Amino acid sequence: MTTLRPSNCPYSDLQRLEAAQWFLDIAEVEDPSPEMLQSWLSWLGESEGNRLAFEAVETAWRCVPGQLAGAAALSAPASNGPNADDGYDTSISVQEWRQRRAAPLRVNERQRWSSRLRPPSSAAAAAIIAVAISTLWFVAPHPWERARPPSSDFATRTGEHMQITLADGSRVTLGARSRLTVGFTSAERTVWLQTGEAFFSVHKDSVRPFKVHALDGVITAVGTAFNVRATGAEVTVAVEEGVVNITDARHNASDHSSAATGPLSKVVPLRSGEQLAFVDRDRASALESVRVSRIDPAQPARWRDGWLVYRDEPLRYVIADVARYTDSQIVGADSLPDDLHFTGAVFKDSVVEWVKALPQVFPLDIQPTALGFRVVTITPPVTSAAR
Amino acid sequence: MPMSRPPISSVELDIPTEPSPGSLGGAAPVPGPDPAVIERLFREHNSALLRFVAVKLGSEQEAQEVAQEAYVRLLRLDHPEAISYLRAFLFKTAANLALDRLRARSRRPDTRPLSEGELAIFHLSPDRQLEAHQAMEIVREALAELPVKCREALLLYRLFGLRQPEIARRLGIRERMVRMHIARAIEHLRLRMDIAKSDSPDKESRL
Repeated sequence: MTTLRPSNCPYSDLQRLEAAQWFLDIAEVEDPSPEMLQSWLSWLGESEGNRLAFEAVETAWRCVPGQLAGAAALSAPASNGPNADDGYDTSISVQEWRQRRAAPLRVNERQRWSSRLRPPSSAAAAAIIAVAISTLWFVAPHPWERARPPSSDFATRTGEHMQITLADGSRVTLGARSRLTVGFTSAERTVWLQTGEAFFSVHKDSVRPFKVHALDGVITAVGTAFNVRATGAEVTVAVEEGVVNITDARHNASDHSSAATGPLSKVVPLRSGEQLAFVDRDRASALESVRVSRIDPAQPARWRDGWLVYRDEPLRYVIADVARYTDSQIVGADSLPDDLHFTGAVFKDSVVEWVKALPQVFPLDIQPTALGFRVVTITPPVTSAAR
Repeated sequence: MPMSRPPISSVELDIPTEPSPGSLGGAAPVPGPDPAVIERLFREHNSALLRFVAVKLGSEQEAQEVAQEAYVRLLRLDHPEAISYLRAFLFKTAANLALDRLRARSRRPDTRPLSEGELAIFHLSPDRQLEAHQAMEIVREALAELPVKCREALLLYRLFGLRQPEIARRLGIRERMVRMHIARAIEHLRLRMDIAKSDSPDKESRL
């Protein structure tokens, strides 16, 4: 494997996947409904990237070999023998799956841990939830992910929670569709929240600090209880008990010549009952828009009982976050304007109902798609204050 | 390709029959749709319509022909309607025409759906033919990398023209998973082409 990622590609990974899905829908439909057409046309027209991705997918499709060569490919046994099940469940891209397989240590470790840590009843549930949908909000691999082989990896599926007890006695509750990588050394207890949400009850050890990496933020705790959520480009940290310090990962790095100028260039302490949110819009730029707000100290842990609680958070991140609890694909939320904020609680089993009710409160429309919903912004008239 | 619906030879059968909001009982027959409306449809949606048909037929040439025919049928409509209705009619008609062509193909097995020889989009220069050849090589490699179910679902769908429910039955997985497996397979093929393209950026290739 030489290159893993395309450069100068006019569309994103998400656009490529969406294009493939639309391509299939269009190829299949015999009698297109006006709603489907509208949905497809508005997707095509939404951005140049969408249109280019669709055409590119079409070109790729036509390069799939013809009957004879293809039939040979079909009958060629897989490397593990014919019909060996390699366990691929479409929840991640084929490329990501191949990369994980290339590191067998990681995969074995993960399977061992997850089979031991999951309560027995959830084994059956996991099999059912294996009908996982594509993770629309997955975070692209970060440089540190490849820089250092992690020792173990935990991942949850849609709607699933996982209790993990780490080697030092710290306890982690991993939220739905989340991924946590653990890499402890003798000097430091480091974990990476790749995507999703986790609540940490950290075992006190003043010699070995406990560090959580989330996007470009590093949350350092000695002994405390706190919650971290990484959704798309936003990270929120909320403290239930004790104090944590938040810094910029690049500031931590050995290279001091490039003095970080972002809001996290200094250490930001966060205390019990406080929540901090920051957005990492572009990995090359400084972390921006750090917001600190007061919360009920009991709030950070409430999601573990099924209540997803938000306080004055951008709606688009809230939608991305609740999406981890439903198999319905919710697309289009990332183009919602920043000024739509949500405060309230969503119960994990009624995410779909909540999404459907959004137009009653926000100037947006929810359109059905083949796999879920599309969130569409309605441009409000200039004088919309009356409503 | 096996079809469950009885063949529909006449597209007109599929015209929705709701009365138009403006039509009154006993009014004189109204002329066909406003040419300006058709022109607007063409301007706004022609490229999407061509994509729509090309996806179904795998041929730009045939897509052009079908689109043209669909516009002609649109012009023959008796009642002027809202543009949203006309647009739906246009795509629906095109879908039916494409279906007719697919049925005609399956009756003549020698013109099987799509093959290497039909990579007509690359038919331009020898350079382009080389590109097409390279693209096929990349896709062949990418196919070999696919997980088992992904590859089988894709090839059953692409080569044998099986419908998704039939593939689900054969592979023993849910229909929805068939769709996801095929989508992930296409995503991967495209990703590998994009990577190959970025490895040789100097080439003005249309991979």
